[in-house]
Amino acid sequence: MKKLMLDKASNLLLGLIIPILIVACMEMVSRLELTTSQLFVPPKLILETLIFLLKDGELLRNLGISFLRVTSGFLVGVTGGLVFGAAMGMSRKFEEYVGPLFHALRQIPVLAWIPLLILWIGIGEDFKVWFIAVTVFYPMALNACAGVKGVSKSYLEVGRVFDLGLLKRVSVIILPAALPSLFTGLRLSLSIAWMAVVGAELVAASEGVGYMMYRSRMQLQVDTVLVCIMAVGLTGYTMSLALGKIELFTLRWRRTDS
Amino acid sequence: MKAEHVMHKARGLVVPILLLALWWVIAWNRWVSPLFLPSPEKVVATFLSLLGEGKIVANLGESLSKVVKGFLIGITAGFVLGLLMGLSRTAEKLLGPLFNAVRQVPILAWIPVLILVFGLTELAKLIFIALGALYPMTLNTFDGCRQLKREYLELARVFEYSRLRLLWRFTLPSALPSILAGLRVSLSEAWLLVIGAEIFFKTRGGLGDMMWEAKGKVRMDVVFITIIIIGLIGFLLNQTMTLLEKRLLRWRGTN
Amino acid sequence: MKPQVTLQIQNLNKQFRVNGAVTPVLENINLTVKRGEFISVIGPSGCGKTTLLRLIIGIENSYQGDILLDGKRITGPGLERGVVFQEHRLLPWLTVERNVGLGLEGKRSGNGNREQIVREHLELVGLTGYEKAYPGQLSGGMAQRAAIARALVNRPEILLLDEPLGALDALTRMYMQKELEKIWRREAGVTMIMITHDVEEAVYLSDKVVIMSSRPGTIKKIIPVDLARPRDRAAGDFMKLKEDILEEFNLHAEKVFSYAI
Repeated sequence: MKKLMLDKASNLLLGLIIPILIVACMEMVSRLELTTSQLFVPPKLILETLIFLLKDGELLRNLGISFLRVTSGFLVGVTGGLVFGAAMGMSRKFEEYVGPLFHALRQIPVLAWIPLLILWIGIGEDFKVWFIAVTVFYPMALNACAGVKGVSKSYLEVGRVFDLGLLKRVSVIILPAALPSLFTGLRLSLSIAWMAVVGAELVAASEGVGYMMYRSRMQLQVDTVLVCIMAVGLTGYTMSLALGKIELFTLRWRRTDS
Repeated sequence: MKAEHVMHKARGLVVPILLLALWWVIAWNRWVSPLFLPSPEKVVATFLSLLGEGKIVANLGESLSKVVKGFLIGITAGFVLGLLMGLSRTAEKLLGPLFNAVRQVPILAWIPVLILVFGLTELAKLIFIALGALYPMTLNTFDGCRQLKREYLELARVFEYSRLRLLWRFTLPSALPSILAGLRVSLSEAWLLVIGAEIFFKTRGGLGDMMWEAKGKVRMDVVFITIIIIGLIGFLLNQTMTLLEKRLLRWRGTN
Repeated sequence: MKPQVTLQIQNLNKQFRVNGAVTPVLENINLTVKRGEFISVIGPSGCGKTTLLRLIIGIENSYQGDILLDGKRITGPGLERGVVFQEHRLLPWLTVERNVGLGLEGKRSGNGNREQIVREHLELVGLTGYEKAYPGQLSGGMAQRAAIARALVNRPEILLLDEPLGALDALTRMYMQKELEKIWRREAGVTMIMITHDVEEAVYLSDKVVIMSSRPGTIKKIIPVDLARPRDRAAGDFMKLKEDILEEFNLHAEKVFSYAI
């Protein structure tokens, strides 16, 4: 037991070495004024800026706006992807009709949708939410399709033998069996959603974390930019941790598997 | 049997054809403003004229050169990093946490920093693209190294293979499937980020820039064309990588 | 008064198509099963016994000939035919009682008091107290018992079992054989058709043993087992029947030998 704790402690320390080195480097370089490069901002300044922005409420306000956009777009896109992907998985005919077009459109890198969407919906809230939804739709649909297709034939036969109706089969057999794949899709979609919101806010927004980064960049405020980056990373990470916890809870029957 | 196969494929064409027909009808009747939805004929005509002016080839070449450069830099760095962390537990403990922490940040968020540090230069864009290619490559290389089965490790120890021999004969071949998959993902990431770089860094050149300019001038037809080309190239790049993957894996005879 | 004969298979033939080549799987199967009988089907691997069972269950459908249940042709799965597979196939995300209750959630299920029926059947198989457990927490034997309960909740006329005890270790298997017989006798009137590899199991449980030969699958012989129940595995006539059946297979092997010469 002691060894385990010692191991964990030493792992933690090792992991911190390089970050600490980087921070120390930055401190030294800015103190000695070795370079005029914008990157080497004294860490103390970053900390001060962070506190200031938090107190000011500006960071939290913009973060909140981005968070709302992510959540809305995520929900819309994930639901659409889930339904579409599940349909493709369950019905061969549907997949044959829709598949080629689906895969063709999938080849388009998500960022390429921005100009098109802007021309069609403008640069308001709708645009951000729909853009996020579109980017999230594909990974979710793919995972949903794979998950549904992967449902063990054995279980499907049980459904047939006991004469279960379609709704029962989906809710009691197919969805639970596909759940692990669905969660993989959700996790992937979450990180893509954050990327999408930052992208959208960099080019077409007047609020939100991405916009904050854009404006600070224009004003040459590296410290603010770095604070925003950390904020986004942290929020994304926390959300995916939460998702992980939900996954563990939903799949709790797995823990009892012999 | 063959007839069934053809019918399956034919079904796939139904929806696209219907949509194309719908598009043509809407444009013909002008039910929607041509600014929103240019007619198919206009798109084709614009395409041909742009082709003639050489604009398409020029921009395409620009984007392709970026993707190749950024990709190569990214996968090299990613391979080295992944190998380092995969082979040495110490390296993993040193670099892993930082790598994972940085990975939490969406790549696009690095754009303002890169612009501040390197300015609106080609270098900034290349680093951006390389960064995108780096993540998947590192992860996959790392995974691949860790995949070496215990039995082989013990075998090598029994025969007292040198570290280098172990690496070359055992670790790398068993890591190959992961590494190749990493290459494929990195390439599509890189292509995505080339377009991103051209949109967000707002400098001249490339398909992304062509698309952005067209948006500014509300030239929906050009936007359509660029989207199709971008998608097509992405598809071709992906297919090339997949073919390469299949070829190499067949060679090695990995299960 | 229900008819004496419940299942009739007449001139059953089935082929598989693999890559263009046609392989006969079942040839000229004729079998009559009386109501309430316990039939075992035994045969070497590949003799088509599982395919035969799947045809009776109704999850495979293309064949030539007739499979009649109470005179009516079988066209698909039906609740009057209960199924126990070799793997218990309990849904791991449902509790035991929900799994057993699954049998009652079919489109054409009756409306009785579901909870009570589930409880009764859990008692029948000796799993009272395990209602809220998950399949992952049960041993192999217990899970299979739950599967049997699930198959019986609809009061089927026939219970079809595909090597139900095959996945269990030898000790559990012997125990479960006794349990299976007990359950059969308590569910008065259920006809049992069981596929097994285990000759002793077949003699212990069945009224008739159907011996199949392979390539293509046909019924070689039907041996009646007229011993009183519960049966004694060590008894002389038990052993003799076992040997008789085993000889059927040895004989088959010898025949092949003689052709080779």
